Amino acid sequence: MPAEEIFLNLQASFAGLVKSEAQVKGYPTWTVPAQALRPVCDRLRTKFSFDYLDMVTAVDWPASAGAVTQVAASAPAAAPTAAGRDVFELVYLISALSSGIRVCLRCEIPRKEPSIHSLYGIYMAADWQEREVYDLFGINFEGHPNLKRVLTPETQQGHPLRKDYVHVPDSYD
Amino acid sequence: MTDKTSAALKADQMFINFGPQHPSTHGVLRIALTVEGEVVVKAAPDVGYLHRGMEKLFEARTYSQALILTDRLDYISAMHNNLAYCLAVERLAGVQVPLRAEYLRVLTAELNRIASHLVFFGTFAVDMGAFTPFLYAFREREMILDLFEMLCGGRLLYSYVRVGGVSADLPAGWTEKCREFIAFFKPRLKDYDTLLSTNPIFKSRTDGVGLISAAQALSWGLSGPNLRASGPDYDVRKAEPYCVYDKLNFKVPVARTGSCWDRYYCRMLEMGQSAEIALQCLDALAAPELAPEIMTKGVPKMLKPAAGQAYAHVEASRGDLGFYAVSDGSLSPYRMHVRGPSFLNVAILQEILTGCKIADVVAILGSLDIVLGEVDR
Repeated sequence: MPAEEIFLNLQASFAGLVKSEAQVKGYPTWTVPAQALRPVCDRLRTKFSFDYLDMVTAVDWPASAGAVTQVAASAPAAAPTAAGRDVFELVYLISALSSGIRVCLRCEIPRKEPSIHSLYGIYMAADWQEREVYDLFGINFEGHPNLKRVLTPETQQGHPLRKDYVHVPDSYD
Repeated sequence: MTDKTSAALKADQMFINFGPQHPSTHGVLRIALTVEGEVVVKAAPDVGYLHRGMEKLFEARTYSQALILTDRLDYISAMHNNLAYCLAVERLAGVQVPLRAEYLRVLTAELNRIASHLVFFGTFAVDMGAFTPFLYAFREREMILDLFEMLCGGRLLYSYVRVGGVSADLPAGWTEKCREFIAFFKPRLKDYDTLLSTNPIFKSRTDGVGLISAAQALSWGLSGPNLRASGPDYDVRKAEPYCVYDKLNFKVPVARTGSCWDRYYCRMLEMGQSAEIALQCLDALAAPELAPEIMTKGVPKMLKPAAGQAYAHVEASRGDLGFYAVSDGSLSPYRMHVRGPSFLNVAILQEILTGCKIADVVAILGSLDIVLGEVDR
């Protein structure tokens, strides 16, 4: 079943699922409402045999960051990124290895108290990748059984990949 | 000791710190082990000792400056990192690559795969108590490093693959030296088999140990030989061919049981296939229509891709290595995420180490062939 048919099938059950303006080059990219992410992935896995979670990551799009505002001003009406929307964009790349179909799911969640459902249990690959996003962006994953820092030390202050991160000098600086 | 340890013999639980400084962790990996007698009851891998904030560093560099950071991810197989990064940036910026450079990329990537698997072969044998194979492995690897040094000056960190092509064409005499190496190397694979693969002690330490089912491997996002040893026939070179892999003729070794020995042997077979691919590339490069030309055609040093995002991945030595690049239209990446295969390969340890014997921890860890530079980034 081609990606287009899967999309139409999912769209029938999940209102708000749309094709993204911001396409990841080379992959069908769909925007999923944050609360529908887990059910959509569950459906993709059980019904359409999307058995492999390739990648989980996030991008910080604050309302005003120097470089971003510059682009937002020059960008066309349908900006190919989420620049200037004051959101965290979560990016999931999910594959059905048997058919070779790969889709990219995007979710936008507010930067204030960011939280989204964990995919732990559907894909175990989400375990550490979500911990990494939590560590570096401070996004909470509801339902993750072991959500703690994975790359930075436990004493780390703040979340380094946020655009407004300020490094607090420690004894090594 | 049987699994039915009687209540009277039941030992107290003991907590063991395995690593971060331990020769068999191949870097700075710590595993917090809880053991009951000889049996591991809980294993919690702890990473991050080599975290350099690579993804943050990308954001403060131009696209061409950031290339050298990728060398330092999986430093055993830097050519693949360069390649994956460049493919992502090229896709983002819509850059075309000369055909000759595509062949050179595949050629060097496959040679690097052999070098990387040789490191695995040597060190895994040492982990299992056999020292001799290490000497053979490093002798052959040295020849590949010499070839790379001749090609780009670097023995470990190459920065050879550039956005838009490669840094230089083959120097005079390189092709002959490379053919000489492959002719020398191919029969060596048989030596390795008699030396280690069929050795009864080695087999009893690895065959049937550390089993990973196909479902487990897929769910945990394993890739590369670790995934294929469990059955799923997934190789990025076949699933989403990049460069010129669709024009080359090669097989992807797949095993079924997912034991340490299967993971080991998948890599051994891959080396033979990589040598075949390298030969095909050398033949193709000798064709007159692929005559040398400028290797990075018209790509500005200060690359400024239009705002947007792209993902590209390659089959690196350790599995599916991907780069997710986001541009805001400026000179530096707005965001660059590295999907390191080792990061996912090491996460599964918490599940598969549970219930195994202490002595098998080293075998299982070694068979996954992780590189901490890529885990911690």
